[in-house]
Amino acid sequence: MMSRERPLLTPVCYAGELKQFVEAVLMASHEYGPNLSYGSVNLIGRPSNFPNYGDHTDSYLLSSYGEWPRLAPSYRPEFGLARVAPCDNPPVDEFFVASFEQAVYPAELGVYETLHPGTVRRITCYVVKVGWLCLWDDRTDKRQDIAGDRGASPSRLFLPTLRTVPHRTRVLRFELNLRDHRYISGLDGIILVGGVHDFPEARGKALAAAAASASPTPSPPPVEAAAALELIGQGAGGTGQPNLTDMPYEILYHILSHLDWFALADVEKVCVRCAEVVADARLYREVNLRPYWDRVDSYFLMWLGNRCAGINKLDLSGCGIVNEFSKIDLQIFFNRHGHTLTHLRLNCIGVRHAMSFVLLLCPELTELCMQNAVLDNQHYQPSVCKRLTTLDLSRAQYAPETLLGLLQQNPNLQHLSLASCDQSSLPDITHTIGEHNRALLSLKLWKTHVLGAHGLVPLQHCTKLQELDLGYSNHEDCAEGTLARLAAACPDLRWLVLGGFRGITNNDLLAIARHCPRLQYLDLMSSVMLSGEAINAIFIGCPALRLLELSYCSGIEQQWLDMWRRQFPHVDVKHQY
Amino acid sequence: MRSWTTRWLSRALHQNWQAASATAENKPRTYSRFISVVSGFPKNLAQSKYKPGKMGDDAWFIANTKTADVLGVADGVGGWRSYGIDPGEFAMVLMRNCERLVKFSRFDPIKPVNLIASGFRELQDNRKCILGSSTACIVVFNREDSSIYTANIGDSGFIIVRKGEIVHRSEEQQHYFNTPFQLSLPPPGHTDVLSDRPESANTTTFPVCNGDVILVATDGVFDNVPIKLLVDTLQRVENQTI
Repeated sequence: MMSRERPLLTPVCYAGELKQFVEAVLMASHEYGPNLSYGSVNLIGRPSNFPNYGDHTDSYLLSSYGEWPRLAPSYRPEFGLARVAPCDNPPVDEFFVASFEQAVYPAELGVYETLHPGTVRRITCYVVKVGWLCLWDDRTDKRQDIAGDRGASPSRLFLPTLRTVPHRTRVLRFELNLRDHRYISGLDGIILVGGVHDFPEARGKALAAAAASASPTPSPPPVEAAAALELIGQGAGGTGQPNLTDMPYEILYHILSHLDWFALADVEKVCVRCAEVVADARLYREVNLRPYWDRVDSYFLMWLGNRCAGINKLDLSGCGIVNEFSKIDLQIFFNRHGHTLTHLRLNCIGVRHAMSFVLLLCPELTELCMQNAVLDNQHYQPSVCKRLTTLDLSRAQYAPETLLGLLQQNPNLQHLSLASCDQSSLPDITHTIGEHNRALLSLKLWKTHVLGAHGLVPLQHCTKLQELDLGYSNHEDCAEGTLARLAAACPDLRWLVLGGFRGITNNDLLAIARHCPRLQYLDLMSSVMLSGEAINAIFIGCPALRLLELSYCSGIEQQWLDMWRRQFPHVDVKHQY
Repeated sequence: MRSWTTRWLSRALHQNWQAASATAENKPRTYSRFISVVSGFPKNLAQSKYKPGKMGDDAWFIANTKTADVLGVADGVGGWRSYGIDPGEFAMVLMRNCERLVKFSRFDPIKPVNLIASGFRELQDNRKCILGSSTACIVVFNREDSSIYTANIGDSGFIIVRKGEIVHRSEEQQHYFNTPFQLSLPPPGHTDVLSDRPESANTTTFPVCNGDVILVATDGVFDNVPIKLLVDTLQRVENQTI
């Protein structure tokens, strides 16, 4: 190649240590779309853009920023969190798991952030036969941020001060929090520095000096189990103090019902009485294992399976990425308990393939979220689910007939997400939805590229729609007037994403302004034909508007933007970053 | 036709070849691979700043995987300038997308048309609305069967020179004068714009052997440099052993 690459800013590396970039991304909870652009694959290898700041196509973009995902009509609140201690459940929006080629003793880590830095909250590493160990936690550990290009660029190299882990590892999980971010953020790459044969002498000395001078990291507050155990142990015979195990069953049950499931597993070992209470199936009606992803394995699933008769809600999102449990473990679990489940979330779990048994074993499901799952994409997969109100198959793979079957069998469907599904999985989807799913409140077709010129017409039957995500959802310009007529048919629309939607005109905006007074969120990214006047009509016609995304709308002059920001300060107007 | 451009071009080609062969390792290889160089200059050479991957309205990429080596060029159609659209952007982003697809092995070496189609689809996924059109020519060397697989849309193209003879060349695709076949993303509302599908590319395959010289270029080279001069220059580098 002709050009010389600028030397890349990297963390300190001593002799005998390796510098590695990401070799593969095993799982990412967020993907901008089904293709390479802005996807998690761009974390692989040397950073391509750092220190250039921006939303580069070859960086990893995270677009679920701020409070917006939780304010959307399609948001399904989490269940089973009443018993999870806040220290066990820090706010984490997204995660990804990256693997490196060589297992090393992790000494230094650098994350190249090229857009709105500061998203990483926790880093854990996987050690074979030991499990997941925390390398860095935003709440307790130090960090260093080096500005890119010697301060000339807002991009940053984030250098967390890693804890000393006396094991070799090559799989790291990064948990990200975007709640404080006002716009999308982007990561360009990750560098891991470490020795293959333990810490080199110079590094060892530096670590020892740092440990000596550092204040002790505050340990997380003691789990209530320890307190419960202490209470149980007290008051043995003769002091007159009541023993916890003397209490009526209901009282002991009530106390233990405040413990999370791993604490219960510990309490169970104390005595027969405790084991009796812990075996009470009512403790396991709503089980949310998402915050405990690092401890869920096949042994725990079996333990849970032996106790949770009658379980209604289960969330295993983000678990099992490095095959801590297998498809067989899940199949056994669902064989025993699938028939009582009403809410099931299996987003981005390690077992991706052949989740078809879920559709056969859980007839009572009202909520099913299987982002990133893989069902058989050649053959029709029958399903017994007929009561679904929520179906989330974002980024999943399935045969088109499977989806058609699910839609036809579930007329009460209220929330449907097919975001980033491959085009080959999607049949003539809006026709079916318009026929069978007229109760829909939210529909997401982001980046599906599946709608034709008249694809929006059948959706006019879904008059209760509150959220509609049509970003990049058509492969040809929509026929004139179809979007306007859809807006007229759905007066309840609050959340509308039209970024990258082909064929949108100023008349469509005027219709939206006229017919959708409850509109709160409008995304018009990259709509180059829109003019300031039409968007001004939106401001006037939609008093509830809170966010307006206008990035890459090159037809809007700066004075319009200045005027809107002045006159409508309650609306967050996004224009570039 | 300005003769200094052709002299410059042939000198650049030859010098770059010398440089590349001087730095290559002297190791016996059991598999064949491309040794590649790139050369070119935009119409406004004096005013423009060099940007890797782009020469004026044209763009190129070179990428390789364990099983294939890929060369690609794209020529942005200049007519869009009068609409306020930068013609080189489309070509540049198309080539960068193809390069990324090759880098992540999301392509089939024996079907370069799919590479162009995927690169074109990725263009539509860009947050910025990329408009314009360009030609494209992709040459893939498949190590497994030591053949090249090519796909060409438009008037860019390639020639393969062996022992002073052109043994294989691409066919130009034109609708009419100065209007080659082209992939395009017109601005919204312009429905009467020429837009060819990636599947309309000419595809060929040809077995190659060590020492063959392949030239992939946009029409600026083929229209301005006499073919004999091209062949002679390429022949001079043909049997350089590494």
